[in-house]
Amino acid sequence: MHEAAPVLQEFPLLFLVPLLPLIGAVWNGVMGKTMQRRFGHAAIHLPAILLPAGSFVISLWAFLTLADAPHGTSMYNHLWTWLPVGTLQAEAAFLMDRLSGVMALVVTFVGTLIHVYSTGYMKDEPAYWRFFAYLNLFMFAMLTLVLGDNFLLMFVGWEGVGLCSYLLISFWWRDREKAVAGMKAFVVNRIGDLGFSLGVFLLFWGLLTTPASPAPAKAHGEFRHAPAAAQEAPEATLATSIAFREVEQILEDPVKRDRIVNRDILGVGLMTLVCLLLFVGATGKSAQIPLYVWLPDAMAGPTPVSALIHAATMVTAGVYMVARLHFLFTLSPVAMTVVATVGALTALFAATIGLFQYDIKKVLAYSTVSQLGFMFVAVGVGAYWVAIFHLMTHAFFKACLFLGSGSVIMGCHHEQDMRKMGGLRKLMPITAVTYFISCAAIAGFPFFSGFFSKDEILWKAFDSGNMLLPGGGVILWAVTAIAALGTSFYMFRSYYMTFSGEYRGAAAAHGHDASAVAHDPHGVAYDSAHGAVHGAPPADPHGHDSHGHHGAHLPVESPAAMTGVLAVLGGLALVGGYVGLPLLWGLPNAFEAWLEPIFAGTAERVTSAGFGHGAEWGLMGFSIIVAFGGFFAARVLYKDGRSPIPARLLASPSPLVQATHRTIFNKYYVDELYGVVFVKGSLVLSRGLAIWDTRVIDGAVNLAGTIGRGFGFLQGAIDRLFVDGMVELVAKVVEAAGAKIRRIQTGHIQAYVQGLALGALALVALAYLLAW
Amino acid sequence: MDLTTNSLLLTWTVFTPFLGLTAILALLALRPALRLSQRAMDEASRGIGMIAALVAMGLSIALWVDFDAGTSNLQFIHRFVWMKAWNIEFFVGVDGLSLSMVILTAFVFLAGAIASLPWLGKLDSHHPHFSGKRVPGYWILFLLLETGVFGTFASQDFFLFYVFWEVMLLPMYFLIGIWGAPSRKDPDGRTRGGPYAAIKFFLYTLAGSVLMLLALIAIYYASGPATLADGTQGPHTFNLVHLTAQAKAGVFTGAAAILGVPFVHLVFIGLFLGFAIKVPMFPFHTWLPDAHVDAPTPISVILAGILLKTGMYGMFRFNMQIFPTGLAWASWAIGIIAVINIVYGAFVCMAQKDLKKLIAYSSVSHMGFCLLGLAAMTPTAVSGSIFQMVGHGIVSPMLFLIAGVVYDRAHTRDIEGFGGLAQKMPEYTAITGFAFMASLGLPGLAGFVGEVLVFLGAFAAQDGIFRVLVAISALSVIITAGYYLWTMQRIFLGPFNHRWDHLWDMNWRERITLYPLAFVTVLLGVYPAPVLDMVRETVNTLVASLPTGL
Amino acid sequence: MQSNLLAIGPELALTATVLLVLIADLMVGDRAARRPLLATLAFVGLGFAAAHFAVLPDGGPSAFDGMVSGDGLGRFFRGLFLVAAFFGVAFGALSDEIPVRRFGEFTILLLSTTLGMCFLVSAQNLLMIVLALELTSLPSYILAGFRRGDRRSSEAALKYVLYGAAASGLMLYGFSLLYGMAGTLDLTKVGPALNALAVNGSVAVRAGIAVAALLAMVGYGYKIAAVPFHQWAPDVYEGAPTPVTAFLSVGPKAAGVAALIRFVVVGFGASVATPPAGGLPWPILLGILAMATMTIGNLAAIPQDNVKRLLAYSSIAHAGYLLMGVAVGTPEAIQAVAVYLPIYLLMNLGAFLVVLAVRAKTGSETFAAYRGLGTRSPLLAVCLAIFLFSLTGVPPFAGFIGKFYLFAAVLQARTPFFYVLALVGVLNSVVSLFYYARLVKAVFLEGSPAGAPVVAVPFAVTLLLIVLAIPTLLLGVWWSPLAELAARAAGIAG
Repeated sequence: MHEAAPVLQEFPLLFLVPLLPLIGAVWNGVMGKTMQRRFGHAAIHLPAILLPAGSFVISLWAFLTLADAPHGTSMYNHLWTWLPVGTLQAEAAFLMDRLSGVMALVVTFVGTLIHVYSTGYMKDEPAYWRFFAYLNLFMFAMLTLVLGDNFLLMFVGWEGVGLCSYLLISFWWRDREKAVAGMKAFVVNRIGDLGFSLGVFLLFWGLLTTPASPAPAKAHGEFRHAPAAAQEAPEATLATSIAFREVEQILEDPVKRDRIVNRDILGVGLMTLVCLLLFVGATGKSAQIPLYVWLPDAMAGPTPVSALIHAATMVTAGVYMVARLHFLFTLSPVAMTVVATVGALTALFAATIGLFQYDIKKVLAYSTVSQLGFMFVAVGVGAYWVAIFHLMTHAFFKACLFLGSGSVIMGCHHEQDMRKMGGLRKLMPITAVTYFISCAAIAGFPFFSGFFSKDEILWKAFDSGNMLLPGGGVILWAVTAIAALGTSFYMFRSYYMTFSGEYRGAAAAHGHDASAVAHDPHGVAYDSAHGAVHGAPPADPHGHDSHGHHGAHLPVESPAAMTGVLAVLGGLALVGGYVGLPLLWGLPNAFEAWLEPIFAGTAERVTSAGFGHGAEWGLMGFSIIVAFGGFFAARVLYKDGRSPIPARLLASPSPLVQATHRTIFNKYYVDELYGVVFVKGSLVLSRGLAIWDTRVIDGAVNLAGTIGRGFGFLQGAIDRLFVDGMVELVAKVVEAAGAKIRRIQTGHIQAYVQGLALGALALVALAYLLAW
Repeated sequence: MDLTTNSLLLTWTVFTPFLGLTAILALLALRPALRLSQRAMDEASRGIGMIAALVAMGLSIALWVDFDAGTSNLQFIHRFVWMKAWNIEFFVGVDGLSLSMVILTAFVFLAGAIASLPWLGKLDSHHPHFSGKRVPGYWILFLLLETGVFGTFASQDFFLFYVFWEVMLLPMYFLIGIWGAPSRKDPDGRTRGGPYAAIKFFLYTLAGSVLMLLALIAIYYASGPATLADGTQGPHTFNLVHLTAQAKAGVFTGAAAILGVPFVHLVFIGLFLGFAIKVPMFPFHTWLPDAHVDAPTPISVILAGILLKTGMYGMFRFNMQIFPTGLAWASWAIGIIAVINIVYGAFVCMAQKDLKKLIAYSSVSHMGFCLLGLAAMTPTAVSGSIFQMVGHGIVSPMLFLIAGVVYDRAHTRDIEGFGGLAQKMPEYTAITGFAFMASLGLPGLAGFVGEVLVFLGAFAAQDGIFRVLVAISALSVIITAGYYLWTMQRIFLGPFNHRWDHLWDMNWRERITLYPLAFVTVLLGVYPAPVLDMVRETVNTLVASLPTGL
Repeated sequence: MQSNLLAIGPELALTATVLLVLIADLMVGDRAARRPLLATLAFVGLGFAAAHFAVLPDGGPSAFDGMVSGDGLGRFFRGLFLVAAFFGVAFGALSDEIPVRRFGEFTILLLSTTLGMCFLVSAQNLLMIVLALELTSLPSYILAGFRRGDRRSSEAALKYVLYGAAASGLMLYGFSLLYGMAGTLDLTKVGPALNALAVNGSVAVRAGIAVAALLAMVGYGYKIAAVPFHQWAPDVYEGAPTPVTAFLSVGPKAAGVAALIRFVVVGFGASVATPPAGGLPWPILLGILAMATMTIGNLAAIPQDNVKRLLAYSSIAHAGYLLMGVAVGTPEAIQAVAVYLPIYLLMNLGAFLVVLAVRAKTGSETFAAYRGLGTRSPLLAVCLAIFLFSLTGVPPFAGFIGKFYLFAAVLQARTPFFYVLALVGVLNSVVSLFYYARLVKAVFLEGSPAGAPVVAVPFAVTLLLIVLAIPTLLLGVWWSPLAELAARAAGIAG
């Protein structure tokens, strides 16, 4: 409207962005085993790193071209028509606009770094080739998701990342727990995918059946059959396209927009339903309530995977999708409110669970869930650019945190329980520093990257005028602010438990089982399973011969490939926020300016509650207090492991404390609930149906056969017995009469003849009846 | 439409396998004279069978090359009067729908033929392989079956269609009965095994086809006069093109009601039941798990890959093409049954412990999508349905081949009894994972395209009930993912079960069958246009004849 | 007069053959060549009889004042009977159940039966019908009890005789009533006379007509072994020597059907297309009989363990299918019956030939003898499968064509009753598959019992098998000539 119509500029190399990692995946997947055996690890990771790096370079190139081009231009690369059928034309085409450009850069950049990191982390893995093949495949799927030009192509990536997530979580498939975790991730994601696809179907149907111009003779709600309608009037419906930009363009026309917005289906606004269904997809992929349960379990995968997929990229796909489809979501205030509310609740909910975890990766997992909640608050209130901004900074610091935890875990011989760490700051200085920087970033220390993005989210939530909640955006702000406090606390808790004080690994080795089993079944299962079945050489990071080794050597800093990556990401966690400085400070906000054209179309419907600069300053101050508050609390309680308060608190006999702790520690028993209701439920249902199928349905068939056979047997028997029975009867009668006539063979025959006569009689009777 | 004979290529395709079986028969008859040893006879049969399957594949590709996708008219027509008295013609020809099925047939049979070979890799010497049993007979029946299937798809005369349709039955009966699993008692003391499954299959399908026979005769008598291939005029006709034209002119809607039921409805039901049993449609599906479980691998492959499609094909060709009003009348009911097929099948899958049975039930579930597409009656849904037929025709053979791989080695298919096989059979694990993903409809693979088109198309159906049906049937994507991944988990992942130390990874015969199928799965997933283009005009013509604006 | 004699030329030839064989039988004595000699003589005679059809004018005149019709129906069926007789003699020559010494006797009886059948089908006079029926029956009683020493055979014969006698008696009684009411023995006049009587007559008269006609029906029902007059059939078929069973299950049955057509359709002019003849709803009556016959025949066949008995029930079921055609009564239906019977003859004789061959080697007729036959004697097994599937009525075998014609005729009747009849008919095909396939299963899908002999098939049997099997296959895809012959046979009803 206020921009020129989108211009597609051909960028013929764009397809290489997803394709290069795919080539890597196929190459390593097919040839990797041989290459690894012949030429060692370098033969695996060189292509595996260089190809995504190539993607990054091309992305950057496209990005810079985009930056040079006028507003509203997109880089476009059409390959072929994928689904040409009926009214549907789904193209295999990639499109990079300002939004997907940012995403593509983040994904390729962080992704490439994590590939590099993995060369260190996975160096003793026998299936090194497989790991990199999967990682590359993931890059392909993620980039398809980001750059896909239409809903269906996005869905390809959407499901593709789910698959890769499954493969990578179950990477150490010999451990049943891990395999199950992968399965859980995939299935839960599929629930989300179901919502997503139904949303797309509904949208497509809505566009297809909403008349673009008033239909003169047709009653409301009656729509002609698609092809017939298309033949009669080519522009009878809003759209037959499922390309994002075309749908967006159509909805920019107020008349057409009103037509579709005013449509109801089952009493619910069509757009609301579409958006809510799409959002179900987002909750699956981005681990929001109620589908977040897979993400903590997904930590079973190798740590680089957690960093790449379950922190930096894949899980943000839901946020990206909502931002991508802002032109739909802004049409439905209800959906917006739901998105923001779910986000806020998830942020708080996950943060509370994070408070009590001992597994360092679990802490980070819940923190991720929580942070994703923040992002959904942002998209929910219409602050799309802020969500993407936080997505980006989160990618930096959370990747850094995860990789840092990976470094720690590797250093501690695959110990994940923070109670058996401690004192690592001296032993692993680079890891410790980068981890601290990232903690500060995520907690929102001023001038760290997270500060800018998170503070902006809180402010936008506070100031939102779109929320249909009582209290408007303020209530969202309150919830997220508490979550932010929790975040700051548990992140520094993890830092102090891990890095401060003395190393507890050696001491803990003896009491390992006693202390850990009760609270962290995953860690134990991990250890024992690997020790038992992996059977890899002692140096193998995933299997160690005995717990006695714990005390034998102290943790050492990880190799350069890992610390280098940590340094880069730590640096970005520190400075990455400067691209989006607050306008409040009078500084240029490059990030918002960059994305502004994308979201400009919806800007007018995203309203402010009208709070002034004063309020914004105040909130910023409050945020800082929150960040430091959490920090100091954690420092007091957990620094050097000296404070007796946590232990005393946990040992408190008060039932309230105990019950609360147990509930939260056990993640509110949601997993158990789902396990009973859905998993057990469907298993019971499936068994019941299977029994029904064999016993009743198949049974009916067999029964029909049995009855037929039985009847046949009876008939055959009658043919024999009828006669013989008659014979007996005749014989008896004759004998009773006193006649000494021996029954001769003709006795049979008399009966036969009687049968004959009876048959004739029956026939006469039948004819008589019929004659009437 | 010009219906004069213009090519013999199709006829050659149809009868190439028949020539092959004649050759084997001739060799059998001459065996004493030629003094062939048993072994030589076996090898010769295999050779002839393979050659016939290959030539048929080549000919069907030739058909594809020469096919003009820009029209829905029949092509490669070969037509002459067969039985003047009944105005029966030998009339073969293909449109996009037929051709797609003919090519699929050739492909699946080729895969089946390769899978019937015993060599090209390590074999279990302790357990005789089915492919060593009565080899000439096997190949004779195999080729007869192929001709039957080709003929079914190529026939454009109802009587001819019926004959080919029934020709498929007998070889299938023997192939399952003789070369399938031997008879055994199940835990409940009921007799199961190849012979049981074979007779069940036979009885079930015959029950369906006799209903079809009645419908066929009724249609014949209701039809109007038509010109035969020799230019003479007959009072009635079996010619599908004429029947379609007459249907459009209202000949059947005007026909007298039977037993108080409108002619079109009754005939529609008769035909539909005949086809539905083959699809198989709930509640007529219970022959399928038995037949699949006890059939030898290649026959399962053919059964799932192509025989189930003959049912769907029949529905399109007859129920939709000739009786569009009947379809419109029954569409919601078919839609509901389709959803039962999809969801029920998926749930029942989850409870299965026998790998083959699981795959068999998954076919029930996946064929439900085809039914749903048919019932929805939109071009997108119909294209999706046909594509699903092709997609399932590629993917389900993979699944059955996969089940065969492990069965050939372990002599069990009990999912619970495995565990950690990925350690011993990594390549097999990978291809299984691939096939499972294809079957659960992962985007980018063939299974997805059909599903998504059916869903999209059905969602846009006129009848609002279809949106509800899509929503319910979409649940199956979760359940499907659940049972496949759970199966994956139970067979391949977790700690290795050392009971299976003696297993070995894939051999070349298995690779030769599986990789081409996998390749096509990917190809059709990313570039489905060849199939969609091929059927587009046919679909448009079919859908255009459906009543709109109810 | 000359033309009259020409009209019964085949019968005359047959009579001559019977006499010649009798004489030859007395002359040749116990020589090795006895069997081939007598058989050849019979074949030549049959051939000579058949040759008459070449010179007999089509739709020829009725002979002997209309007592013997020279129409197409008779012509067609007489030809068929000669074929049946040919196979009957051939089977007898190949079977060890017919001792060499008594082969002449067998041939004479068989040919006499055939002679009776020929007369039966062309008889147009009530008295003539009774005579022909008796001529058909009496020799077949002896044939059924041909194995004198065998208790089952003797018992079968006795049952057959008594059942037959009673049936003939009832029939004769019915005929006399008909004669009394119509005042004529000429079948072509009986029908119209009764129709006229029924239209004007009182309830009592109509009831009388019905009783008379139905009593007559008993005789026909007995001859074709239709329910409820079928009870003799399983015992007789099981007890009689296999060649006799084979012959009885096709020859006299076909004759009975043809005679029934003549009685009901020609005589009473009954068909779905015409109003009830003689006050009786023939189509529905016969339709119900058809349903009962096929259903009971098929169901009772399911549990049988003796293959001969199984085939006996199967032939009862086939009588039911044939009755469907008679019930419809239109020219198309008659044509359908005429198409069905030759095909039935081929496949049923074929099945019995296999039974004969198996019995010759194993001495048994139970399923056990058939287990694993597929490996022991592939040719026999494959042919058996062809015959059985053809009997089931699946394409591409000839049996399907027969059924197709029948069902088409039934559906063409276009009344609710006949739609139901057609449905029952096709469902019966499915039921029949159950037991035919059970036998096929034993042959192919089950292993041979330990020590089961390899069934080597004599050359002559092989030849006959092929002679029967090839048309069973060919007629499934090319049946024009047969259909044309059958259409000419049905010309009478038009």
